[in-house]
Amino acid sequence: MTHLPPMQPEVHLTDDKKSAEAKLTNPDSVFHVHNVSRIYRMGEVEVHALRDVTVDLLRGEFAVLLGTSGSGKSTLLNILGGLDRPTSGEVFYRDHNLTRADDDGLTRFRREHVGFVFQFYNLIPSLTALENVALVTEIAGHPIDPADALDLVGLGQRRDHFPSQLSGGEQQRVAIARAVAKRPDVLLCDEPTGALDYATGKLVLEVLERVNRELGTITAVITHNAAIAGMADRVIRISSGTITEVLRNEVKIRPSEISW
Amino acid sequence: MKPLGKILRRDLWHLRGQVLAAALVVCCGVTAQVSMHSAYLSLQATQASYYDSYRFADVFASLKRAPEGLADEIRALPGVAQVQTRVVAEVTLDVPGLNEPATGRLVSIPEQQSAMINDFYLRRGRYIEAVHPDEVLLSEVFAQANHLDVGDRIGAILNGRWRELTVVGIALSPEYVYEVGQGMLFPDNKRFGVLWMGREALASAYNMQGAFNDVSLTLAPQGFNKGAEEAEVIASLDRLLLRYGGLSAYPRRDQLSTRFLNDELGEIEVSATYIPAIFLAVAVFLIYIVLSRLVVMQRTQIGLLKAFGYSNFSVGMHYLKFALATVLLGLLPGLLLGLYLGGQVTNLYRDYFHFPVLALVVSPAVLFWATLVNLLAACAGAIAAARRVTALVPAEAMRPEAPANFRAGILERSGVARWMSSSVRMIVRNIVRKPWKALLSVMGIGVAVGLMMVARFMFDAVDHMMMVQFDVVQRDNVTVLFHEPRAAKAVFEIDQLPGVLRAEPFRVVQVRLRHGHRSKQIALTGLASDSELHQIVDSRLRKIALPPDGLLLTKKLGEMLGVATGDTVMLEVLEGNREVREVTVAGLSDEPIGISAYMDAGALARLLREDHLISGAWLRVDPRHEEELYAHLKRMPVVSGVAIRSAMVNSVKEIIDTAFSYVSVIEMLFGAIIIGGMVYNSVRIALSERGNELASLRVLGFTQREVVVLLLGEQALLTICAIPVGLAMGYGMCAALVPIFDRELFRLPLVFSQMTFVYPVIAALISAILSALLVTRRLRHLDLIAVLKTRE
Ligand SMILES: Nc1ncnc2c1ncn2[C@@H]1O[C@H](COP(=O)(O)OP(=O)(O)OP(=O)(O)O)[C@@H](O)[C@H]1O
Ligand SMILES: [Mg+2]
Repeated sequence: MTHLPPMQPEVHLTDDKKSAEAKLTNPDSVFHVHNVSRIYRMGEVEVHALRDVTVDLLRGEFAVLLGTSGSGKSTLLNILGGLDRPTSGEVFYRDHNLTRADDDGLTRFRREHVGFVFQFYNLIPSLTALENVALVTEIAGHPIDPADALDLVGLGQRRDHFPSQLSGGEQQRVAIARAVAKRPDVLLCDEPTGALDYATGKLVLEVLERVNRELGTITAVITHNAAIAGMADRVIRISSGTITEVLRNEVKIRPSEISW
Repeated sequence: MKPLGKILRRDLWHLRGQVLAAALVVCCGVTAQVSMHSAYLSLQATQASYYDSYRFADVFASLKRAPEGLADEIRALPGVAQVQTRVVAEVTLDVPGLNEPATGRLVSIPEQQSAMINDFYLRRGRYIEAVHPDEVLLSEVFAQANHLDVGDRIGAILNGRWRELTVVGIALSPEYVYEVGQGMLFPDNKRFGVLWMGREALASAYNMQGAFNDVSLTLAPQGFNKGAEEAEVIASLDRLLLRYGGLSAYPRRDQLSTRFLNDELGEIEVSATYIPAIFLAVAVFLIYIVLSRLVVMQRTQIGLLKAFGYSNFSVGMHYLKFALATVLLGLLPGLLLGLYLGGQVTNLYRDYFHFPVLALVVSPAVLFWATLVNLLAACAGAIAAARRVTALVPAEAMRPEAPANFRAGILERSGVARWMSSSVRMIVRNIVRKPWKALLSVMGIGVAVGLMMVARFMFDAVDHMMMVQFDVVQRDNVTVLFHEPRAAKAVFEIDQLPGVLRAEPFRVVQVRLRHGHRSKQIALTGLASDSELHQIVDSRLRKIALPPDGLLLTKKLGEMLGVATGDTVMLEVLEGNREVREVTVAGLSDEPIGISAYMDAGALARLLREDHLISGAWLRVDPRHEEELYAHLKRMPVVSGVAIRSAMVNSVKEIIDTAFSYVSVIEMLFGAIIIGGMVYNSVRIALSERGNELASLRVLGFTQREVVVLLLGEQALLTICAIPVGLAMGYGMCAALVPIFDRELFRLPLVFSQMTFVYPVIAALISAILSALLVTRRLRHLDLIAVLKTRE
């Protein structure tokens, strides 16, 4: 099961000042977020969801984003995934400047490089588990066989079930299978366990860990749950739109050992 | 109720697109209902009051010649109120400015104006004066068509003598509301007109002093058994007139103009029922689906309201008000538009039906019924949707709806699904999951396609009728009728006229055919078996050889008499010595216009015991010498009437083009609105139901276009399914119209031109595509982020 060599990402403490070259200089940096701000304007009121954020995501790492509600985690993740644009600053994916891409460019970026997992699964109700996965592999370049992807999340037996016939945890695992089946470069998960009970949540985390380990997919997971931070390579803390702390875990805990 | 009022306004605004689409359909339905019913009422009321105020007769008969004294005998018949005797003659007219000869019907009026039955309305000018025997009153349409007015002169041949008639007045009569010559379907007002002339003047021209050849009477006001009285009067009148060459008397409803008018009234009544009914059904459906979706979207809100103690009734009322507001939105403009269009349709009728005044009757009852019926429709749609409200338990309502329930079905079990791409699978499964809704969508679009097809079919049918009648059956360019039967050699005289390439004589004699208790008076035509200019055909337009003996009847006449080939009928000649014979029906032919009976000319001559007399001739004419020929015909004393095919066909085409195209454009538009409304609503609902799904797909990297395909695919598939269904429904609707139009005067053939299938399909596709595109604009504004935060 674990034949892929786990990658050991380097610690990379971000520093606001020595930024732009970082993407050039650090060979492990895949995403480079540079001085990014995101301001929501609602009439007269301005909400600074992100303020001058600079951060990198590194090759093969498992990163956890921690922060209180409203701190800007989802905003950052959405910008990384090409769903949203910063108000100012720049975002690089390898040598692509995402901030310069148009809608089609961002769509292509999401299609080719990003896998999303959401709190509410967002499966297509009219497609079976297998078909939900196949939906994405049909439009991907070098996908995993959808059935293998379902095996990977332990749902090989439920492939012909429709979402309405699956439990929440099972639906979330299908969503993960769907997200990884196209071999994305990055897997972005926004509170993947938020709607799940304790046991099911752990099961999902195990799947994420396994995908990260076996496929080497950069995985960024948003959570409110500090306990989950233990399984990350790095923990990024956000507060009021700024990154307050980036921690590297010297020892990663296996999901099964986590408890909350 | 305050908060609900606010919610109502917000809901209406939020769903304004769909509300508007439904309102538009309601508007069309109301417009159709109000306009057609108003036109119907206007026509009917005008007819009734016209007939009444101008003392239109109840029974009519024509005869060869009877002494005036007979009128007293007729008057003495039980049940008869008033009697009017007249002299009526058809003549050839030389109208200034018209190349072709025209046919005039001269109708006698007393030299001294007095109240009489079959009175007329004098539009302009004055009554005739006894001292000027050449003064006439002219029918208004004929005058208009030929730009004639008081003071103009018209040349006419009265009983072989050339006369110049002076128009002193312009008049209209209830007898000629629809002014057509015998055997014509559409009016040709340039070439056929009625002239009223002093009785003495007309009688002396036709040697009819102290005699008459036309009688009409009114019936005494009767008790309950009017029909029986009428039949009795007709029977006794027939007996009285027998000795005087009387043709069968007929009641008012069989009078030509009245019959056209009544037929038209019947047609409007049919259309005024089924067209609004279609719209009503579609409107109910649209309101139902919009409200059902609204209820689903607002289930939490409904749960809350119920939890707060609002009753099912008050919550249900909220949705009922929504439906009522939607209907009212369409109703008010519909009522106004209906009245406007009713006025337009009534105006159109002025070209056909000539009344002193034909104005739109604005009937409060019509407006009331349209309002009531549509509000009831709103209630029906709302109640169907609101049942879900009542069924909702508050606690359950507060929970979000479970993911749409899909299960493996026939598609999966049969393995068909495996061969489909994901998009096709999604589209097909969404349709299969709600088969009733899909079916209703298909039916709704289908019925609209059908409606458009019916609009086009009317053109096709009339075209075909004209083609069969004037290209296949009647192949002559000009038909010439003599005053009286003439010796066979008279045809050579005609043949000698300039421009005549071929002249074929024919004999026409009025006969009565009897079979069992059924009987029919008809003009029996005797023609040569090798006739080129008049062909007898079967239903597939194949030529039928004229049998050497026996009768050949058109199918409709056969039906009316209840006879088949081989049966015998009693034939009573209504001329001369009124021979009565038993004759075999040797075959049935098919003609779309009128009813006819044919016989070999030789056989007819033997039957009549006469020596090959002829009543007229069919001519093939060299177009280069047409005018020369017309000039001669105008002045030929023996000629009583000339029918020119091209003129007739052109005038028909003109009528069809103006009247029919107006109506069919509106019908096409209505059809397109139904389709637009249906598609727009379906797509909006789909977007509302599946917006999250589509946004998720966009997040997964699907392009705008791929997502549009998924959204519209379902509707596109339904529309494409609806097209053959619609064409089949249209075919069915047309087929259903055929028996309604299976009349003595004409029969609609069930024929379609290619364009009748193509136009509705194109219109349906354009309408569907445009309304779908209207929705896809919204896809561009799909909030990809918001969708991830909300739970479906
Ligand atoms: N579409 C929007 N319009 C206006 N303000 C927004 C919008 N989206 C987010 N915000 C604001 O931006 C800030 C950051 O939001 P974000 O969704 O990133 O928070 P979060 O860290 O993901 O919170 P949570 O843990 O609750 O999901 C919040 O204050 C939020 O109110
Ligand atoms: Mg969030």
